[in-house]
Amino acid sequence: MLAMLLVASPALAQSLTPEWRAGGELGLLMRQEAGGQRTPLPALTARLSYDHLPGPLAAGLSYQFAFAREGTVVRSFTQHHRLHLRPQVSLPLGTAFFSLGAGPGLQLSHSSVADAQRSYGALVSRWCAGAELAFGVRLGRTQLRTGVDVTYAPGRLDLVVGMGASFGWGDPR
Amino acid sequence: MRTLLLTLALVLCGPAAAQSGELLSPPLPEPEASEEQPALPEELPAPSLPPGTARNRLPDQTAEVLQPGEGQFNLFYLQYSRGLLPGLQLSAQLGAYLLTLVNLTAEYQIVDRDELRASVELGAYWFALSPVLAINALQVHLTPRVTVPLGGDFELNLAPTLRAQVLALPGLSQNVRDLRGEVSLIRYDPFGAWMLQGRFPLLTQQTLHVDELLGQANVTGSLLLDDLDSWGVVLFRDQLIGDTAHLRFGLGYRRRPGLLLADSLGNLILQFDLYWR
Repeated sequence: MLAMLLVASPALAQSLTPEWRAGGELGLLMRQEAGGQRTPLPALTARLSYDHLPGPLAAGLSYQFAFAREGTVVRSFTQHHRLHLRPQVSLPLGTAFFSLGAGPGLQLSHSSVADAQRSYGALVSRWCAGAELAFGVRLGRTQLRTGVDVTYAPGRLDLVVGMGASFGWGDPR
Repeated sequence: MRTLLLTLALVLCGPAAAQSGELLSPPLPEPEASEEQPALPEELPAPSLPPGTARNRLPDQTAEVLQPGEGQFNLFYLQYSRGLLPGLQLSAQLGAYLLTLVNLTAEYQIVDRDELRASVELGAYWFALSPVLAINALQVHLTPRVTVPLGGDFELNLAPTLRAQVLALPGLSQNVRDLRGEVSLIRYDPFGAWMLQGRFPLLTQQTLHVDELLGQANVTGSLLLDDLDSWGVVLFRDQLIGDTAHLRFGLGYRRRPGLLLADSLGNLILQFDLYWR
C-alpha cells in the first residue's frame, strides 16, 4: 500500500512552495535517562527553512527548548536548548506532504539546584545528530505539520513528538 | 473486590480500542452503451447514493461523523452511534451499561475542507453504583482527529488521545492520565477499505494516595511511565456486506503484551467487528 502511494505521488505533486518559511511547534520531548527509560518534558520548537533549492530539497534550521522543574524545599530547574541544521527532502501528495530531514546539532543543558540559602548551576554542551519525519498539509501559505524527531547524542537517544504551524513568504516556486 | 476492579479496568479501557464503522454501498455500475442497447439519454438523473458516502465510511478512524438521523451499531463493543445535528455525533457503549457504567461520547467536526478535516471527541464513563458500593470510578477522554486526503483513494488520519481515570475507594485513591497516538493510512476500494494503523502510547502518569501504609499515614506517590515500548501496528480489512452491514478484521503486532482482549493477546493483536447501519 505504501509503495502504491509513493508511485502515485509524482502525479499528485504541487509545487507552490514559498521561498521562506517560519513556524513553531508544541511537543513532547521523551528524554532518555541513564536507566533507559524516557522522561517526558514539554518542548517548544521554532523552525526556519529556505525552500527554493533544486528539486524537493530544502534547507532547515530549528531551535528547540525543553525544561524540567522539580522539588519543593530543594528546587531544581533544567533547561535544554538544541540547535539543529536540518536539510530536508519533501514528498508532496496533493496538498499534503511528507518530509524527511537529517543533520547535526548542538545541545546545551543547564541545571540549577537551589534551596532557601544556596544555589548551584552547571552548563553542559554536546554535539548531537538527528533526523525527523514529518507529515503536513498546505492551506495556502500556511502549513500545518506534525512529526517525530529523533536525536542521538553519546549515551542518549531522545524522541520528540510535536505539532505546529508555519507561514511562508516570498515568491512561490 | 479485585475481580470487580479488574472488570472495571477492562471495560474502561475497552472504548479506547473500540472499533466502530460505517457502511457504504458499493458504487453502482455505470450503464454501458452497446449496439443492441442504445445509451441512456444524458438528461436522466444520476442514481442517488446512500447517505454514507466515501468520506464517512470509517467515522471511528477518520474525522468524519454520522449525518443527522443516521445511526450505526457496533456488535463487538455493543456501541450505538447516531448523528444528532450537522457535524455532531453521539455514541454510547450499551454493553457498559450492563456493568452500570453510564457513558456518553460526543464527536463534533470542527473543520471540513477539501485539504483537511478535523473533529474533536469527548467522552466520559461513570460507575453508577458509586453511592452504593462506595467506589468512585470515572474516566474522561479527549481525542482530536485529523484526516488528510493524500490523493487517489488514500487518506492519512492522526488521532492523539488524552485520557484521565479516577478511582477512589475508602482509604485509597488513584489518578491515571495517559497520552497515546494513532496514525492510520487508509486505502478505499469499491468493496471496502484497507487500513494500516500504527499505535504508539507515549506516557502514563499515576498518582496513588493511601490513608495508611505500613504504619505511615497519608502516603502519596506519583509514577511517570514511558510507554513507547508498547507500540503496535495493525493491518485491517473493512469489507462491505450487502447494503446494511460490513465487517472489519485486523491482525497485528504489539511489542509489549497489553490488556487481554482490550489491547492484545500476548503480542498478537487480533480484532474482529461487525457493524450495522
